[in-house]
Amino acid sequence: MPLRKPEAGSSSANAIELRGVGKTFGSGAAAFVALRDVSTTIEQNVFFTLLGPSGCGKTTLLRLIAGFEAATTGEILLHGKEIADLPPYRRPVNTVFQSYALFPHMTVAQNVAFGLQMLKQPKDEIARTVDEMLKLVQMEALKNRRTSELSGGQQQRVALARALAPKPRVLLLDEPLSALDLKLRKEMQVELKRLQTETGITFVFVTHDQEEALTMSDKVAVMNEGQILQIGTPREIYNHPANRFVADFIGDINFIKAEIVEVGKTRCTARFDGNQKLSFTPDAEVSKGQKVTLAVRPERIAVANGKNALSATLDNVVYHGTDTLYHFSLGDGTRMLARRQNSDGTIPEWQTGDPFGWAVSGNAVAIVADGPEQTA
Amino acid sequence: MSARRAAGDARRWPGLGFAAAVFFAYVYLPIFILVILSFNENRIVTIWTGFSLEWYRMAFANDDILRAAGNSLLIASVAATSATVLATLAAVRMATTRFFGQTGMNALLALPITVPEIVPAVATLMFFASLGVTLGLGTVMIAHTVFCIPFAYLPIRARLEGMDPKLGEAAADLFANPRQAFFKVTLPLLMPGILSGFVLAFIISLDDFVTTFFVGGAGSTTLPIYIFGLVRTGVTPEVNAISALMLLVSIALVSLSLFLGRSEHRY
Repeated sequence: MPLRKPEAGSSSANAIELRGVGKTFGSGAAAFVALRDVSTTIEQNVFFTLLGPSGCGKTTLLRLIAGFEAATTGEILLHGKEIADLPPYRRPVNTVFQSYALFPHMTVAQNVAFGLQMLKQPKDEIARTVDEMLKLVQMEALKNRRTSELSGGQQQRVALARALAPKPRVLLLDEPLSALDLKLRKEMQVELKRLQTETGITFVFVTHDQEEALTMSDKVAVMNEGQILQIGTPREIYNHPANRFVADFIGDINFIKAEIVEVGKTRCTARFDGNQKLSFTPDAEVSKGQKVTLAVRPERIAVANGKNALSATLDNVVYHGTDTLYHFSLGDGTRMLARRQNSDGTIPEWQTGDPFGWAVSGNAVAIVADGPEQTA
Repeated sequence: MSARRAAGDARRWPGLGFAAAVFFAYVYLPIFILVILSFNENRIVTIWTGFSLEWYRMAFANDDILRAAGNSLLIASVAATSATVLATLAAVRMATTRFFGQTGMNALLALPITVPEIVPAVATLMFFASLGVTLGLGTVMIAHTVFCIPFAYLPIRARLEGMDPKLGEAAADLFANPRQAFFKVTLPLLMPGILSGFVLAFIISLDDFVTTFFVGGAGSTTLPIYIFGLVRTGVTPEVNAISALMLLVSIALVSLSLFLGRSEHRY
């Protein structure tokens, strides 16, 4: 393993701790609140992703940790130590920039060596670390090239090597994959996850790409309008979104307005669309008569027949190669989407207005709080 | 429709070629003739009798000319260097931070280029006179530094504007303190702009007549001032020779500046 792991049982188990962090740009009427009262902890040795639409404050949060901006309120602790007074060049974190920000007047090796030189490490040690880092990102063959001669993917690797070379305990990554094409992005996703596991460095990764967040992260924090809405593993976030915004932002989802009519020991029954009934295992406390919004992923809806099937009207069937999308409507006009894998190769005959039978298993239903995005 | 045939395409205007030819002839023919005549053997400037390097030899043997040339180069070196340092500091400050009145400051920095030179020249003379400073090399250097600043500032500023602001953050992120970040990242990247600013300032100073004439004194005679003195008693082939040499130096410096400007694209 090329990089040292953070010593086990070091001072604090948390790499980063945010306590009521807020950031306001400007003042008076022109003031813009980028972050409001963000509190969370990021454990050591995890791949932590800040996910949200542009302008949600995720990059601002990263810049506060790096020290490029100062928090208006709150505290940021790095391994248990308050770092507000430290300028960026004294913080033991390194950043991979969205634009890479490689030094154009230096070679690949000089770029990677820069941080080590600033730390006044001995020359032979710097040379050794540079070789090690370039090997880690598979760029050793191009070490004497100028960075302007490199492709986007290669620049990305150099930026990574440069940020990893000082062996930071926390690596900050600001949408580092957004400038790459799809194929390269997929490759780099795997690569980044590998690097994080191999080095044991805490990665704080900013992205607006939900798929990227789900595939790479140990923990995801979904952000919107300067707040963290939910923190959890990718599975938790995907299967049990805390509110409507999170559910909607990550993947496709169906929302059904319903009322709880029966609460059993483990299961409950909800009535929706006039008098249709759906029985499921609730992932939150419910009471009889409660009005709820149910969220169901399209791939958890089965096309069904028989008397137990729920009824709807078919609007459209879209063939997608690997799967087929069924757009259908409930009696009250709620638009729904079901996704079915094309595993048997048959594509059904259909017409708009055909009756459509569907079913959903009891553990596929999540109750979501109505977030600020109710109007969606 | 191709761009070539677009209405209003300058290449389609009648008489354009002729007008261009007249323009170039008007600007460059006198210079061309001056250079030719500097090689004239005849003492009477306008009558060509044969090729000779006599006037160049005479110019190089003339102590007054050499002293004036020495003054010109000294003043230009000092003024261009000081102006470039000041302009670099100003440009870096203007690019890295936002402050109240910045737009106005930016305009004021570039304004001297558009102000008729005679105005600051007279003002500077009055300023020195009221301070009781003896006019000479020192006063000329100070005055030249002042009017060279905008010429040095503009290319440096342009270069800075093309620079990724994240580079400074990247340097700080990699443990470079502000001083190290400036000398290891900003300055090397600014170098092409700084050098072309320096060359421009150097030429402007070398070429200056008005300001030098006003604020100069004993011992500060520059080549333009000296040539002006010679011409008053009649144009001699010697004047042609000195002028041709100055032209050569200017062309060399401008070429250098263009070359440096071109190398910017590497980044």
